[in-house]
Parts: sequence; C-alpha cells; structure tokens
Amino acid sequence: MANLSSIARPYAFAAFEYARDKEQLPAWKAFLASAANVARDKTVVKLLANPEIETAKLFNLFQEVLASLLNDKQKNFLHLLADHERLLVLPEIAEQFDAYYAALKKMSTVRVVTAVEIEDGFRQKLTQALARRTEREVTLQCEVDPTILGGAIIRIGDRVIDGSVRGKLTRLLEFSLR
Amino acid sequence: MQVKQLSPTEISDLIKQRIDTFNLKPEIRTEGTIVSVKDGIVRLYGLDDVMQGEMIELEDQTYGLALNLERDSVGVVVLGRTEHLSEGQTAKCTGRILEVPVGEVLLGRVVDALGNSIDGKGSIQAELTSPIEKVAPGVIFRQPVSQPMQTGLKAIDAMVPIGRGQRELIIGDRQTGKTAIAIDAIINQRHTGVKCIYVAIGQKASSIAAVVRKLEEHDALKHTIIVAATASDPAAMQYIAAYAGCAMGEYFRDKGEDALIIYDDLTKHAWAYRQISLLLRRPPGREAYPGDIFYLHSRLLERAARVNPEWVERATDGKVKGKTGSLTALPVIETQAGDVSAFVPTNVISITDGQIFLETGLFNSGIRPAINAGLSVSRVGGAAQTKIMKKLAGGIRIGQAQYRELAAFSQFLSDLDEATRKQLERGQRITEVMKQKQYVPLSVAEQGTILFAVDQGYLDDVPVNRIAMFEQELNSYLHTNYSDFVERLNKSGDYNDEVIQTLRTILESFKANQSWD
Repeated sequence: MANLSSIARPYAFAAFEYARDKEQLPAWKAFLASAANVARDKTVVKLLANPEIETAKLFNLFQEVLASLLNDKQKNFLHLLADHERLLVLPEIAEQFDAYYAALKKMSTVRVVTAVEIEDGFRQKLTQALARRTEREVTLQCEVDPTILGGAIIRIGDRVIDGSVRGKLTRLLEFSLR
Repeated sequence: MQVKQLSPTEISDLIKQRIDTFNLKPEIRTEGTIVSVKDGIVRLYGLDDVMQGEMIELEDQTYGLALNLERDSVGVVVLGRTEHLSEGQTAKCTGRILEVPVGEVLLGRVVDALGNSIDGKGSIQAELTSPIEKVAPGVIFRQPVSQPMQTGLKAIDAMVPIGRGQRELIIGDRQTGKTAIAIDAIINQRHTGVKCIYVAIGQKASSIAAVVRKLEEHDALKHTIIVAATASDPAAMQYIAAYAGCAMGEYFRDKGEDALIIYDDLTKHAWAYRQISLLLRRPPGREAYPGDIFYLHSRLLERAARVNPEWVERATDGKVKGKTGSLTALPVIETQAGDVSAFVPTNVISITDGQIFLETGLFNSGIRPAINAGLSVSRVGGAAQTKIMKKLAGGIRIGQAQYRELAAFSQFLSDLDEATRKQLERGQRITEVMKQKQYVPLSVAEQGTILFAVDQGYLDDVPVNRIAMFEQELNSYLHTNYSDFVERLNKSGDYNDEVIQTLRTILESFKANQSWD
C-alpha cells in the first residue's frame, strides 16, 4: 500500500496554498476538519471502501452532510477527491493542512511529561520560556507520568529534552557500566 | 541470596571517577517512532534531521544504520537481533557515523563486524575508534607500488607478483583453493612485520574456526585480525564487515606500516547488499543487484593504497615522519562454473589491479595452486618484484601459457622435433616446480634457488615425479649449509655475478652428493 501521507501531500498543499492566496485559511481549516471527521466515521469508511458504491453517491453524501459549511470551491475540492477515489485520505489531508497552517502562523504544540501535575504559574513560565527558545507561539500539552520520578520530558516535534530523574538514572547506570 | 560476582568496573576509584565525570545536564535528543519491523529492516517516522549512514539507537542497546532517507520515513537496517523490536517503540539519533575499534590490541583477536570480540578472550579495550566509511586517499597522497608483498607461493610470486598497496583479485569456482592462497599469504607475513586482516563474509562458522586454528598452528594469528560475519549473521553485518575490516587495516596504513587485507568473499558481500537493497525497496537492476553495486566494491577497494610520507605525517599529527604506508587488498570472488563474465566478477576484475584465476580442471589434475597462467595477470606488481625474482621469473608466465597450448596441440602429433620436445620437457618441469603444498610458504632465497635451477637446466636430468622431493631436499641442504647466504639473499633480493656463482656452487655440490636419476 502506498504511503497515505505521500498521497495526501499534494492535495493538502494545493488546498493550503489556495486558501492562503484567497485569505480563507480559517474557513478551509474548519471545512477540512469537519470533512475529515465525516471520513473518519466507521459507517462512512465502510461505504468509501466499498467498490460497488459510485463516486457520485459518495460525493453527494459528503455534500449533504457538510452542506452548511461548503462554498463552491470546497465543493470542487470534494468533487476532485471523489473522482480520484481519495476521500479516504481526508483525515491525513486535514492533518497536513493543519501542519502547514501551524508553520505559517509560527505555532507549535509542545508535549510536556511530568511526574506530578504542573501548577498554573509554572505552566505559564514554561510556555514563555519555550516560546522564547523556539521563537514560536507555543501550546502546551501536559501529561502526567509518575514513572519518570521527577523533572520533566519536553517534546518539540522530534526533539526531546529529557530532564527526568528516570532518564538521568538510566544514563548514570549506562555510564558506570561502560 | 545469591550475589552477582564483582565485575572489573566495580572498583571504588573507578566508580568515584565516574561519579565525578558524569554529566547531569538534561539530555537533548531526536526521537522517532518505529512504524514497521520486517526482515531486519525498521521503518521510522520522524527523525527529520537524521544523517545518511548514522547510527540509530533502538530499544535495548540495539543499533541500526540509517540507509534510506525518504520524505516520510527513514529506512534503517538493524545490526543484530530484531525479535524485541515492535511498532510504536521510540528510536533515537546518536549523531554518530558507525565506528569500530582500531589498533594493535585487535591483533590476534576474532571480532564481529562491529569490533566486539567473539573469541572468548574478553572484551577489547581499544583506545581508538574509526568510522567504517571513509574516503580513500586522493591522488596527491599516493605513491607508486614499488615494494613486493611476498605471498610465499612460487606460482604467484613468480607469475603474478603482488606489490604493497596493490589490489589483486583471487577468483575461481568453489573448492579451487582461493582461501588457501589467502591463508598462505598471511602465514608468510610472520616475519615481515606486515599486519593482516582476514574478513570472512557469509562463510560457515566452522570454516572460520578452521582458518583461525590453522593460523594459530602456524604462529600467524598474532599479527592477524579476523573479522567474522558468518552466514547466520544478519545481512547488514555481512555488508558492514568489509568496511569495518578496511578501517582496521587503514589504521596501520595511516601510521606508516604495511597491512594486508583479505575479503573472503566479495560475492557474498554483494549478495548481502542485494538483500538489504531489495528489502529497502531500491530498484533492482541486472541480476537484481541495485544500481550502486559497482560503487559498493570500488569505494572499498580504492581504500587499499600505498600512501606517501606526507599522508602518514598528517594522519599521525607529525609523529611519524618519512615513512610510507600501504594497505594491500586480496579480494576473493567465487564464480559459478568458471563464468568470469557474470556481473559481480567483471565489476571486481575491472576495479582491481589484476587477478589470480583458479581453475577446477587444473586443481583436479594436481596442479596446486591451480593458477591459470594465461588468464592471471598482475598489472602493477612487476615493478615491485625483487631483482632475483624479476630476472628468473620474467618469462615464466608467458612460457607456461605457451606450454599449455603446445601440450594440448602436441597430443595430435606422432613424432615431435627436438626443439618442441625440449620445450615440452622444460614446460613440464616448470609446471612441476610451480606446484606447492599448503601452509609452507617459501622465502625469496628458496624460491630463487629452485627457479635458478630450472632456468639453468639443473632439473633437466631429474625425473618429473621426483622434482618435489628434489626441491624439498634442496631447501634443507640450503638451510644447513648456506644459512648466511640465504639470509643475505632474503634481505637484499639481489641478482649479480656473486649470487649466480654461489647458486651454481650450491646446486652442483647438492647434485654431486646425491643421485637424482
């Protein structure tokens, strides 16, 4: 099976550039998010995967469900996807569209894992510090994992800053056994 | 309660030192996620800034090599076990290109492709490591091949001489004595100071054990490193073993010494690489090999070279001055039914500076080493021969090739003229002289004496079936009565009136005291 993200990339990029040029980014973002939700629905997935159902019917289904949101161009986009039998890729397209959007707006989501719940004051400080470091607008996504014992693990995309007590202990163990 | 025994790392001073130097700062690393694991290949999502050829740390001290950098994923070959890897685990970048330990401590040891000891003699405490992939020395830092690399085999040193820094291919079908030549060449370096590296790729573990035992028996393991990637090791290990061995050899080359490396064999190396490439979904080409199969071997063999003093001085930061270094490579290729025009054999023939072609027919008719004189050549070794070998062996290869033709042709003739008969007789004797037992490499003086004997007609009245015996007796006579001369000749390799006169005296007195009719 070909890679879903490779298939989604040209659609997402085209939609993003079109929306950016027409200054309709938020509208397209909302449209793609809802369309992706529809495409994620279990019964819809079954319909999409069924070769007996004609593409026109699928297109109509999407059109009816999303009627209140759609403008002509977005209808065209859906039509195109239906024609190419790519409606299944919608969730991936929405995800990539969001990534392009975040890159444009210089926003990033940072995941923070701590051993105990973070207090609000500290959360703000951390957000500011990370925003300064990454030169972006930062949204924190906090998780609590008591097994890291103390400290914090911060993930910005692929990059991981491991300041946890567990990480340090593991490294100390590896270091002293070397 | 049972307590684990103390390990050498548990000494208080060491522990104190470790505590003192341990870096407690938060670790910054790049992480990706395993998307799929199959056939020793791991696909990773993430790791946007990974390097080509970078080591990737997987779960539980397992490492992989990033070989395919694609838009959405990274293809990693796993160096070791894969049973414990599964989808969803994290993988870390290490920021390092794969390195192996190098240095004198490796001599006498058997290691795997990553430089870990597998001979049960304890771990290897090497001070230095070296990346396995390095660019070969450029033209400015090279020096012509001008010193001989004696293999101790008469047939090779006379007909296809090898020089230090040369790449000479050993090619032939299975069971034609390819490895035997390589082992003899290693054994012959016992007293020359040449360090040897034997890289076993895709061989049976039992064959490798046999090689190790033979080298040990002949006191040749102490100057040899054995890099073993057996048939049961993952293809990735077989693929990197050649480069790892090369890095170990380069260490000696770069500090102004001479080293000899044997890749046994590159056919299996190409197979291992083909497997990896196909699993990484690179497009297959001829015989299903990937497009860069030529580069695979050319970049490896290009690292065998003779480098000039300037290179050595640079590599050692000025510690070693005025010395050249060399790495001689003897790659081995196994052909199928003598087909030298298959893909990999033609590639490697075109890369190397000559080939030693072994034939099943010759082997079965008792001519061992089974070297085909017509198809074997050495393109640069002639310049590196000692004077005595050059003088006495000059015409032997061509003579032998012509003799074989003539011998085949003369079967159809009823009576031969005197000249042809003489030529045939001489050819027979030279063929006989070129035969040699395994594990008894000969010195320059020993080779020179017997070549002189056949060249000057001292063997003409010795029956062909007694020539081997003649040679054996002559060698022991030489060592008992003329040990000074032997030593001198081995050192200088000269061929002048004095040497000729001494050789005549030796042969005449030897023949006078014994009956060889």
